[in-house]
Amino acid sequence: MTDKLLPPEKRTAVWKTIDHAARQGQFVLPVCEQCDAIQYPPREICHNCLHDGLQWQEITSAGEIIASTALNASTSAFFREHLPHPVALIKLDAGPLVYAHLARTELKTGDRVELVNRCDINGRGVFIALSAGGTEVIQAESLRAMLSEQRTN
Amino acid sequence: MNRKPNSYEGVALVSPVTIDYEKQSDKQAEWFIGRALAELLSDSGLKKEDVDGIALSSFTLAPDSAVSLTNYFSMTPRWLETIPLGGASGVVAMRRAARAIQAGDAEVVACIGGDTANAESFSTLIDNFSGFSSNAVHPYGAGGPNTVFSMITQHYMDKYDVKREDFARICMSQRDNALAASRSLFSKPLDLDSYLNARAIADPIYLFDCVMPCAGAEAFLLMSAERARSLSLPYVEIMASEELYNAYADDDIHYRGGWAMFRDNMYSSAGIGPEDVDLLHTYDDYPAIVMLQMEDLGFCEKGEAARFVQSTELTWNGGGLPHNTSGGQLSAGQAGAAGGFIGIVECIRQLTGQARGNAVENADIAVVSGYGMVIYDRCLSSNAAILKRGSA
Ligand SMILES: [Zn+2]
Repeated sequence: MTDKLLPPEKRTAVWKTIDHAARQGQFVLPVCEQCDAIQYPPREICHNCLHDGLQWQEITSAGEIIASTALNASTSAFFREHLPHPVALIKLDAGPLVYAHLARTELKTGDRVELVNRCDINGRGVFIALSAGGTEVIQAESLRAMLSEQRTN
Repeated sequence: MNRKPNSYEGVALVSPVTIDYEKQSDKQAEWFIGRALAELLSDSGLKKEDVDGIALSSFTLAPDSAVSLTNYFSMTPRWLETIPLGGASGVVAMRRAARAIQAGDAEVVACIGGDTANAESFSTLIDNFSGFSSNAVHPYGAGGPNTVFSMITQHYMDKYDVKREDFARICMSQRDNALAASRSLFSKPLDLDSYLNARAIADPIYLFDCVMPCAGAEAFLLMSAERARSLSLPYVEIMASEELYNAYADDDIHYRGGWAMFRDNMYSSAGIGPEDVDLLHTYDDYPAIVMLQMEDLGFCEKGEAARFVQSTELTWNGGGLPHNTSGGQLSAGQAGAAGGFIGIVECIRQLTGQARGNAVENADIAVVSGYGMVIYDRCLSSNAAILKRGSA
């Protein structure tokens, strides 16, 4: 495997807070000061009441897998080196629907999971779904390749 | 949903035009759009100066848009619309243009969807499709729309007991249709074994569940029915049409679309029901999405499309419900934004007796539906129109 290939890293500025939180091991999302709506994907205006006062807060990251897949095709040369790559759509108990990497391919629809926010090798925060409890080792090869050296903690 | 749009009476769709699809092209989007425009003129016998409105959809024309074309093609239209709605663009172009005709803002509108395709254009498009998708979907494996639609498809299969063999019915019948229409980028029929044994793209989506990106254009003209008659052009009228955005936003995952919300209105405006429809053209980015439209447009009960496609002939000459008789995007190809126009153009062709080798017998009424713009976890635009053969 060549080290030259990197996962996608282009993000808009509002995501920098997630990158920062990943270094602290925190799962954070913007929450509306006025109506308490939790926002995902992150944005600058509340989707519910259109208020512009959103505060990043730590959110309980437990949820359930709504659907999952193993990607066998990708537009990213990095991921093409590591197919198949398992991803899922998670419904957080807190409300939002979130796409995340799956820690292992065996996780399936209906499984309870916990999302963690980890730094990838670009220093970007990415969400990973672990079995509820959050202690399992990340098994998916593609995912291990994209996390930084503290990946196994 | 009780509010109904005003009637589209008096408006005619004429001159169905397709610029042959190419898997890849060195030519610019302007070439495909310009060829479509030239074909519209030669088919209708009109002069460039007669076209005083343009409604355009294109992804690969960027950073240019419809206004750039007025300069490129030396035209001075008094009405202009750029419609960035992907698979929903054709019906929207028709609706906007129809109102312009009725209001007198334009007399002849060229509606064109066209794109080029090269090695980079497809990945550039899907990697940057929307802010939400490039930030919150793309980093998770860069699977493009396959990420989103594999999950929608899996959920739909689980919820309604749908098998890949059911999707195969749609994909195989469309291949037959495409071959009859002599417009497939594929050269031979699709059999069940080939369908089932194709390589996985994002389970449960396999190769033949995906459209083939390509270059090409689809186009038609709108004018008053009176004008169409005076030009002796065979035409199609709009019996009813609706559009809706971000419908059922509270569903955790997509299994029904805006069609289900507006269909009663639409059929009641037209004074017909699904049983009166001679052919159906759905937006076929994936076969599960075709099934959603068959259900939500009332051709079968919710959750029953798998049984419906197994018991109904979908080919142009099968005597059942001729569906995507052009071959659709699954078998003719997805020429970018032209994919949003392929249905209307095919319906005009069928209803005016201009079908190629795939003419549906006694085709008087067609339903065409559009679907587009996967901004995050589903497409947000849904629309449909009921079209009928114009009275001479
Ligand atoms: Zn709010």
